[in-house]
Amino acid sequence: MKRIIYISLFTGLIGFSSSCSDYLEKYPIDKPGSSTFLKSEVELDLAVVGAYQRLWNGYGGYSLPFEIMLDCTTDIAWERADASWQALGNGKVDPNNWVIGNVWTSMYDGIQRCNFIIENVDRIENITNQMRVDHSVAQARFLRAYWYHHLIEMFGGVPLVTTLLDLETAYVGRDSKEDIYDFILDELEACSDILPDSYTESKDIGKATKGTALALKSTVALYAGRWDVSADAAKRVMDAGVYQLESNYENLYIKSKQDVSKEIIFQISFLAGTRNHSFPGGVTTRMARGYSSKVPNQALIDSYLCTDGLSIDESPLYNPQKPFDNRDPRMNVTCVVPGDVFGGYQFETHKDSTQCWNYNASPATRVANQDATNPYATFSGYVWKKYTDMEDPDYLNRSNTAFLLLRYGEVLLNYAEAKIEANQIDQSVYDAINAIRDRANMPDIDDGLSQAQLRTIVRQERKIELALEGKRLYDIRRWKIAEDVLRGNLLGRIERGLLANAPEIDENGNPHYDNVTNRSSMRVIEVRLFNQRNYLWPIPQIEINVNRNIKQNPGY
Amino acid sequence: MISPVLAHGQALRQLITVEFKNTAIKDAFKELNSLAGVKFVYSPKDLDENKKVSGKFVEKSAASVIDFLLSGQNVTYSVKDNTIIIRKVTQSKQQPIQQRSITGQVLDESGKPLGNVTVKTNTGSHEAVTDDSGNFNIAVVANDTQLHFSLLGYSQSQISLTGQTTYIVHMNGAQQDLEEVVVVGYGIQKKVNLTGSVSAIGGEELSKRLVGQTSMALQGALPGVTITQRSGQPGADAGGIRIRGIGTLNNANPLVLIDGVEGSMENIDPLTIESISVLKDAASSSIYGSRAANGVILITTKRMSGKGFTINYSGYGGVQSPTDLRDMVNAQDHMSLMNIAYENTGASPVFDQDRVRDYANLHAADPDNNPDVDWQDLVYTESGFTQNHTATINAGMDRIKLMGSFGYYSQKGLIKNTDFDRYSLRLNTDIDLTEKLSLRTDVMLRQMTRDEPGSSVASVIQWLNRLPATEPALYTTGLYGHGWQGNNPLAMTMASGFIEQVTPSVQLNLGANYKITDKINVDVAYAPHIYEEHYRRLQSALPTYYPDGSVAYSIPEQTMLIHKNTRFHKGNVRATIHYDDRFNDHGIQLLGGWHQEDYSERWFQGSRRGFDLPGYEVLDAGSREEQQATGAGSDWALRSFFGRANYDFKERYLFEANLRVDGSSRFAPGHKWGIFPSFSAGWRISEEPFWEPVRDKLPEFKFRTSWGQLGNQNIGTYPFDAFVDLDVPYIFNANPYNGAALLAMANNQITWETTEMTNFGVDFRFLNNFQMTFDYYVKNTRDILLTLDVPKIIGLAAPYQNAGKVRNKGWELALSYANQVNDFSYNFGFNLSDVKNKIIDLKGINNTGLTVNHEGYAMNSILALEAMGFFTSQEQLDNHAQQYGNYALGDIMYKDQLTVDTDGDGIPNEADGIINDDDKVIVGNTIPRFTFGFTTNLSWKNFDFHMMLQGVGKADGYLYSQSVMPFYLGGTAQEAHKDYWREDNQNATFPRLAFNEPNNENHSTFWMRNAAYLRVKNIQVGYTLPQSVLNKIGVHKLRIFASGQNLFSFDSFWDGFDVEAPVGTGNYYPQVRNFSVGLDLNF
Repeated sequence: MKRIIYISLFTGLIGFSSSCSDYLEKYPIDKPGSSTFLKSEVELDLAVVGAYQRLWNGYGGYSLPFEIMLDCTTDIAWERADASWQALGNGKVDPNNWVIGNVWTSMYDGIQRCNFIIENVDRIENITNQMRVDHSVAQARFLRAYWYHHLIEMFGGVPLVTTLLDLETAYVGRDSKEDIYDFILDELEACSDILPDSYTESKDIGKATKGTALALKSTVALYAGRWDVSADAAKRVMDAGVYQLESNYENLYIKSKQDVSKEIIFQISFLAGTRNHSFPGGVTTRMARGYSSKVPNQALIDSYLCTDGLSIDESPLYNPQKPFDNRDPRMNVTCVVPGDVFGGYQFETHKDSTQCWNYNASPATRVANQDATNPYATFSGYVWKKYTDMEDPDYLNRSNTAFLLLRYGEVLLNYAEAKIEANQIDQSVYDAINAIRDRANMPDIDDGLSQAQLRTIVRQERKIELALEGKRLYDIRRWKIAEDVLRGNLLGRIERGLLANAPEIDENGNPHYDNVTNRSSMRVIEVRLFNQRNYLWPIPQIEINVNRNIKQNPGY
Repeated sequence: MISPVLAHGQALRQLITVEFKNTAIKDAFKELNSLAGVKFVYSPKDLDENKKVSGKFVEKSAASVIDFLLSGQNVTYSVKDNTIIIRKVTQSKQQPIQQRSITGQVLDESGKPLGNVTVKTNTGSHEAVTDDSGNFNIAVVANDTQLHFSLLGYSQSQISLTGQTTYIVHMNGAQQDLEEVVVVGYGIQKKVNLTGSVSAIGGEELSKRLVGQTSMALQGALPGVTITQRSGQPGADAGGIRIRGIGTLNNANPLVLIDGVEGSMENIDPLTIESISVLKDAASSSIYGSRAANGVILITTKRMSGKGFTINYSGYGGVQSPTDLRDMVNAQDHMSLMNIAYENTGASPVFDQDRVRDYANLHAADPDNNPDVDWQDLVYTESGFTQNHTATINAGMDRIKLMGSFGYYSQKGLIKNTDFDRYSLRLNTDIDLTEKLSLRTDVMLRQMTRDEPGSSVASVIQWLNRLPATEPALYTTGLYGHGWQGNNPLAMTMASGFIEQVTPSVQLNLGANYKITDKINVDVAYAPHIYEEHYRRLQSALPTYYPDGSVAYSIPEQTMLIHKNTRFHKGNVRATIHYDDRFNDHGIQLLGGWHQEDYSERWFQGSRRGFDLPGYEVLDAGSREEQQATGAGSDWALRSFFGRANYDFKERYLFEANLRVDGSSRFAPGHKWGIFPSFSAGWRISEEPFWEPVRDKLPEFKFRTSWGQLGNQNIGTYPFDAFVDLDVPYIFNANPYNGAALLAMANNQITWETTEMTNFGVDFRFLNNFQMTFDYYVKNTRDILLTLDVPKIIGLAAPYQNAGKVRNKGWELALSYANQVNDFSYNFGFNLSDVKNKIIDLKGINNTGLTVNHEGYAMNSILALEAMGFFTSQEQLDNHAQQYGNYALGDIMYKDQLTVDTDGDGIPNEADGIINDDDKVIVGNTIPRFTFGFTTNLSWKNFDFHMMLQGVGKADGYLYSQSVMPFYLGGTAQEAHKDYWREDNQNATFPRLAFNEPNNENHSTFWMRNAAYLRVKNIQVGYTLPQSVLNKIGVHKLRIFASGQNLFSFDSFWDGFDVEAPVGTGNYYPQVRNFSVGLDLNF
């Protein structure tokens, strides 16, 4: 009897096991499958947010987007803490550099998120708001164009991928830079037809608009040397009346002002608790508890004009003993220079200033000056101030301040440069430049300047106006001046003194120190190499290894 | 009549089932002879061989049956090989006065009673055998001074007669004990009948090595099993286990089963382990099918057998010290060397030269402003006190037998506020409900707690290895210095809050066994396992200061608390049916079974920041602003059917076949099921009649061979499809919105990874004390599930593909020798194994990086440039290929490999004049080869000595970045770096100092070192107190011992780093050496 019981128990167990046939069917409890995704407008909204999310990259140890780091690879700035970023600036980059690998990968990730939307949008059933769907797809096309624009400026021609790839179709070669320019410009034009001037729903504010597409178009066309296209796109932004310059340059970099700014066209947003950044902690003065690890260098400081609109080698207002007086006010918005007060401390980087004033105490006290004594205080003698909004809560390491990607000021400069290069110089060119100068409380430029004179002015103006906004690298590359400004010693201040006399400023607004009598006392921060190969970064080694159809850039 | 020669000690201990119905004793002897292979020798004068007996025995030892047969007759017996010699009990009537009676009990090392022990006087005058409860009663005469105890399978033991009439005697299992019967998949097998390759180690040997993590007790102990310890952090110091090399690019950990249930071999109290079997070849492990490709480790916990009641206690305590620490330069050297490194690149010096020169004076006058800190000294301050206590109760009654064990283990770290402790409780109960039905109810409770500072041990170690001596640690005022930008490892260890990981676990293992007939039994088991992980991390706002007392930094700015709770559930149900029979010369065993297992995991996590009230370390005490909650989970399931058949002819020709069919939730429908067969055969040539002439010398000689297939499904939970990730938010208009994105590619075609293994083995025994086992195997793994590099332009993480083929070829040798000379007994064990790993196919995709997988080479090979020494002349600089950055004299020169094919034959024949990735070649192999272990056990009278040597004959180690490169990314340097290249020091160890110059920091053979080593892993010396002393205090046995682990190493690896250091940047918690004393106590 018992035997029967046990045998039936045993067989019962086996029977039980075979009966529940879904025992081996397990799926994630937190993720939908990809084959069915994008079936509804709700899912489309999610996918669009997911595409924007790729604007966040983590670089420089402080969750910084690469756009904010890009200036460290140019002649106006330097990164102390990361050798891979240094290598991009000093020409020693090799194809295994992690930064380029990361940039490449994250941009193609973003592009494919856009392709997923563009390719699968017809899966959506029962559309209730066709216009919103159209806007979403246009935003995906805009973002894709945005990333391609960076890829080609960094690497030259890259594979132009506009569909989802699989393991069979992924082994494609590089398209030419010119073809991709065509693609980007066509796409942006198409987007500008679809996208609205602005959004009304809160959840959409910050997404790409008609103006965003046109602003980017003017930038990309300028880089492509297609002057008419650039000027035309810029003009359409200017005529739309949606955007206008901030009255105060500084407002662009203050969190509370950014939220209501009519100048900002496209930005990377942050919000503590979801995503914040530590840019202020990374760059500000040692006394204000920053690490001074990304710094503007002497060449940027010396590029600021005097308040009379003349460069320091020409202006009578320039006093080598008081080199920071009478200078373009944007210098003090962009950089902290010796003599400034930052975070309530006197900022001084003269090595003998072992003490400084602490104005946070009342009355002010003298305290040990970390900006002079700490060996890892700023190597150049200057630090960044842009984007270090101290009103931001817990501003050092959990900043919400947005980084600007496109703004109206840049559109004006695009317009001016495109018109100048096309030699279509008219009053609108002067108006555009003077609008920028006026806002900065700098005098208007003279009338009746030659194309070459205007070119000097617009290049100088871009350098100053857009410093630390990720535009400089592409500018010095397309102007073919990288070989002049990225070779040789990267200089910081004289550690125990000042320049004896002003350096010579060339026609592109760049200082040269051969004539400075005490130039040998200037701090050599690093010695930079620049070869022709450095006009492009190398394609990441892993891509070369995997895909034999992709050829490396010359010299790597 | 030919009867099989049974292994040493086998005859009396084998289990038999027999029934006598009014059978004459002489006929009963014949039946026993055919069942158990024992012969009886007696004189009919001594024994009434026609006496009729009746009785029924099921799975009883042969000895107990013999005892039954001989009961009531005035005889005793002794055993020689497989022969029972029966004699009349002699009673010397001549000297009745001088004879007295001695009684006592014989126990094994764990205090369980031992039956069938032969007790003899030293003069041979009398002889007796212990009963089931271990009791004996023997007559001694005046000139008897000692009693000798022997039981096959146990070391001989003797006591001196001291005038008492009662003695407790302990016997220790000899090495052969375990080898007689080996635990195999879903059963046990006689060692002599094994056809697969199985290594085993007994609990006693394991207990000699005082380790917290069981894996470390196995290091060097078994051939073909390679254990590598990468960290000494309490609770994280387990070793990585590789059985017969690496066959997969995925998880290569073996399957570990504890009493048949999958689990972690760590954190089971090593003293509760009866034995560990490692199933190495396909034949022995294919019964576990899809999870067996990396080998299978079977852990059997102790159970009570026999009757009686004992209590044991075992405990030890000890201290630790790091095996190796790096020697960093002091502040002044740091600054002057750093300045040289800057100036060598053309940059301005970073430290003020005057200050550097004066630093010694400055430091003496004002250490707060001019620190000179030895970070290693300051942070590795603790002695790492370690203790272990295990109390075991064994109780055996008629129908209920239980083994209860309570263990406590605690290990402090070398760094303050790091520790680990573990409480474990195990209760193994066996109940015979009826003659046929028995139940097992095993309960295991365990709780582990691991603590480390809130900023994490990893970050403490990273900073302490990186910080120059110039950065302030602690001021004379008692405030913490700012270290490096607020990162002060001393402050981190002392005041950064805590990370606490508490892991409670409840496991049941319930089973029932029903004997349908004597030959068929059914076993069902249900083993649920529920465990949790409570993770709490309080990262305190940690202010650090300037010398003047003002706050320099606070990292983090605000205190943050993360609380995460994960609950795991594992279900495990299995049923097996066994059939075991023998017809004359034919032995048959059959096994059929069904098994299913499922797993589910659910977690949630909450965090808040801003804790104004110190001491209230719960989420509610934090600020609601930015509070976060996250959570998710995953599941998998596995269902299997399996079977095994064994057949032997006269135990001379042995055959075995296994089949396992596994279904896994990890694959897409249509690809879920895999079939894994294996076959093996053995030939015991020593059983052949022609072997007779040498049987005395070579009693055992066996050839084995096996072939089989195994699988691997350890490839993530849902690799078969791509899923849309929902955790991709973005901010619009200062509000967060959820996003969705596809992050990985899918491949629903993927299927099982299959390992095919062929094994040849030889076992032999020479005389009775020398044994050897040798195995040679070829292990081919195909369809390896790989995430091959795919073009990044796909924009998705690479999918798994069934792409790779890897071959492991290797051999294993194990030798043992045991002997006893009077009071001195000794045994030696030696094992040596080698494995050659080679990637046969990777679809042509060779990945890049430092440790790489390339076709034609071993897995995880080192890919680097070939260093050719330093540039020593301008001529070399001018003529050599272009290298990296601004290189100069004293920099490492690299070989420009032939990478260009100019003659069109497809073979590169020219160099391209530029050093880049194309010049990197495979230069080293990180998979240890020629791993060996050597064990010595000596005992003399009451003293015992154990030593274990262990090592690796061939391996390459590699360190880079701040571990061995001076001033890497602004770090500091070590004393050894002072021997850098300069004009007047051309034979330097290190290249020119050049800050942030990439040339020397490229991966090259320069930074690779030989990682072969020989290590004195363990020495233990013990002393057992004499019985005469113990009897006075009511203790059965008391042994005290002293032990050392990781005592010395011989290697030529980088100074300052343990030779087992992982390939990497050297930021690991140091391995430790420890010294302990302890005692074993039986009541």
